[in-house]
Amino acid sequence: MKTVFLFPGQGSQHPRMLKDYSLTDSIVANIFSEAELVLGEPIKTLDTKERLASTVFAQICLLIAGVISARRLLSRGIKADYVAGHSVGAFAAAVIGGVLSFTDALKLVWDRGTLMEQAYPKGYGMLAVTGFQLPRLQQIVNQHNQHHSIVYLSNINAADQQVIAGEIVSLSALAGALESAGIQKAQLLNLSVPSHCPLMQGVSTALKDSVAGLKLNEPLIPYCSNYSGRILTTAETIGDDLWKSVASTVKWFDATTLIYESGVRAFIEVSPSGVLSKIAASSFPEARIMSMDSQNLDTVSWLWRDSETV
Amino acid sequence: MSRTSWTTKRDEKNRRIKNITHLMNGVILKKENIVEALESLLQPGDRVVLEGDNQKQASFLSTALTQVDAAKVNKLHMVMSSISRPDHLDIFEKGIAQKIDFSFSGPQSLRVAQMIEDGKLEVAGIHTYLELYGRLFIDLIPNVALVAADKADRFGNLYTGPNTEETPTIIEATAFKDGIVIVQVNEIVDELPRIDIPASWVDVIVEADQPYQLEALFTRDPKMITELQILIGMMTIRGVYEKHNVQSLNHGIGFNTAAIELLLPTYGEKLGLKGKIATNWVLNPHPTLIPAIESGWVETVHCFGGEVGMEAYCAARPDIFFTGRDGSLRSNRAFAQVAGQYAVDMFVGSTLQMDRNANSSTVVSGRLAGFGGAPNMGHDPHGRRHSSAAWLDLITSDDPLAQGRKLVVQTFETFQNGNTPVFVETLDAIEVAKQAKLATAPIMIYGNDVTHVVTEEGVAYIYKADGEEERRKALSAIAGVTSVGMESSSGAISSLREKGIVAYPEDLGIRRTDAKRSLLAAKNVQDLVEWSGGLYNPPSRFKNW
Repeated sequence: MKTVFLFPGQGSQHPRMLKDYSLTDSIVANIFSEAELVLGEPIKTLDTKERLASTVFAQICLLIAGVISARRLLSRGIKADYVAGHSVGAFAAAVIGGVLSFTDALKLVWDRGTLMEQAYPKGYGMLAVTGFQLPRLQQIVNQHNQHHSIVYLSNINAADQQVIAGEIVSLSALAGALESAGIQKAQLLNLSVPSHCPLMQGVSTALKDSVAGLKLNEPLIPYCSNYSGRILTTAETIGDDLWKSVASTVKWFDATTLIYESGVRAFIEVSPSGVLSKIAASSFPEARIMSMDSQNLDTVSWLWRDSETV
Repeated sequence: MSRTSWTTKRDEKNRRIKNITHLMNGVILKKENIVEALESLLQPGDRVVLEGDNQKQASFLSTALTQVDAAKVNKLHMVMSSISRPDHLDIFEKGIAQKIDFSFSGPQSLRVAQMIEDGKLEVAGIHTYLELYGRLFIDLIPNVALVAADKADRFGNLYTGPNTEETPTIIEATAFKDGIVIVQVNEIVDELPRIDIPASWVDVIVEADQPYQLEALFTRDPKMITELQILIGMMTIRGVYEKHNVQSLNHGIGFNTAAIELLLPTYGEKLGLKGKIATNWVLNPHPTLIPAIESGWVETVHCFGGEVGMEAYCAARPDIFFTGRDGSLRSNRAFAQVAGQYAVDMFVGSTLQMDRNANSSTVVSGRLAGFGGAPNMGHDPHGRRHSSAAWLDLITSDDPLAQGRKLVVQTFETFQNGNTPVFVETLDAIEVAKQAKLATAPIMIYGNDVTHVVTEEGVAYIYKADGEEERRKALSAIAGVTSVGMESSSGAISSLREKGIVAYPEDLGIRRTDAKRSLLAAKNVQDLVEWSGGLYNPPSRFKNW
């Protein structure tokens, strides 16, 4: 059964998310020491509640957890035919795909998080909506934008699940309009950065320069693009995706649908898992969805091998 | 000026076949030589039919085609009723094929849309099934056909069994115009159960490493049928089947029509309709039709294809199904499409969107899914002349030359998944046509072909409406709380009900509270197995008991 590893993005982090990893596992020990070397801080100080409130540390912790979690899967002989990272998850996906070194990924994510945090200090945010198909949502957003400060479609996660970014005042007004149109759910997220929209253009341009200075390797595993919803198979296009996506809509529904159409029926979400598994389960009811946190490595390994015989 | 030869195609075929003589043992080719053989038998620019519909796939051959050297075989023009497998698009990514004529691409609808946008796939045309089959004999005549059969003998005769589907149509168009017919079979045997295709139509037989891919597409678990769908089913039986005496028909694939199939032996029986309606069908072997067959409702069923698990049941009911001397089902997709378009009195289906003029589409934004059988079945062939009660009952004028009409019925809940309205101001199909630069918007069934629309609110007899304005009002009257439904006034609705253009459940003698799951003749797949006397053997994913 063709398999994809899914790497979660911001929102999936939680305090003490790195605490459970045992240093007796050589994968963990290597990643931790590499991270401490680059960051100059002990791992145990990264995933505190206070620090995770910052975009920088949330993104760094997601990168570390994603890479460890995927390497543990690979060490059990579980093969990925594709890697797909949601937002910052794309950096861990690029590391596992062999495009980016872990050290380079840490530096890029550190810069990315810092720039994002500094770009819009307050008054901006993101609104998650559930229940409308895209054309209907788009129509309401277009109407809204004629009379309010412009908001942007930042994530298309499933056929009826999207995220919109912009000024909080405008987002609140939009939430009201969507509720009166009968939407199931419109909820402001606890995020202060309006990600994945043109408001991040400056961050994107800065990242472009950083990526240009790196040595990228040709991928060993095809990679799902955030900004185009395509499967990418060259270092150049994956490098572009890493800087473009911060200022473009995340086409997660397209990317995951494309790999489903390409024959993927096993979706494994690496740690900290939950969000992407839930989305995949709603989009692809006939696929086998596995989640590293709710099913331990042995269980995932057994389920995956079992799926091979289907 | 006189031409020098009238046998160029035949000569070319002989030349190509001669190039693989060293690989052949009679008509039989070893599977490990398939790629080498394809590289000799296919030439750049060839028109190639690769068999694949919504159920049956020549999977071994499609994989082999992805492995040929694109330097030798390229610019192929593919003709396929369905783009279903990743292989089907991989051949375009690899530069082996360039252009495609097709009908349906549901399982690959996003990748198709992306590849068109990226210039990797050139769409020559998106056709209805019958247009595609017809064009195989006109201007899309194949140079090579790659098809699948269950069994072959060592002479090359084929047994295609219950899943005959479109194999004979493709082979006919190829073999009799000096094209090359290459067949993958599940096994080569000494004696075939019956001969579906004679050896003289076949050039190359290859025994595949695995049986061809086959999907159970028409199995609907009765457990999933809702009481709203049962209500719609009851209204459709009373307000359409009974009212117009409909005897010959086709059903779509959805749960709404599955509900009707399961209501015939219960609700239909209570109304005394057995033998009066729904006797002659063109339909795949739907497991949900088993109770109606077992209760004596159904006289005949002709099938487009088979259905996984229904083989033994169909074989045991030759009075109902078309079967061969060996006993097994014989299907034929092209003939069934002809029958479904031209020879039945009614099509009943469902849709995801309908606009105020009753145009309907299942197209979703950013996806290019093409069509299934609905555009053929769901339209009124205007030149038809017929004398069935249902056909004549749709005449609405006293003109001695007035024509009857085929019933084209759309049934659906006003909101799908409880939240997305089916009635819309504008179909998404229009935007999709713009995005994909299609010549026409991908409409599934045109509004002017639709005669009846049934929702949980009631039945709209739009064929009776006088002019566009009244048609819209009739649709609005059954559109519930969608934006289209909000336009109707109570005065207009009563007038439409008086004229018989709209009927609500109470007008049909139906109490909404009567629509209960207990009315279904089978409540789950296990019940269907019991009805069949154990002959129906559902695929494991439906065996949930």
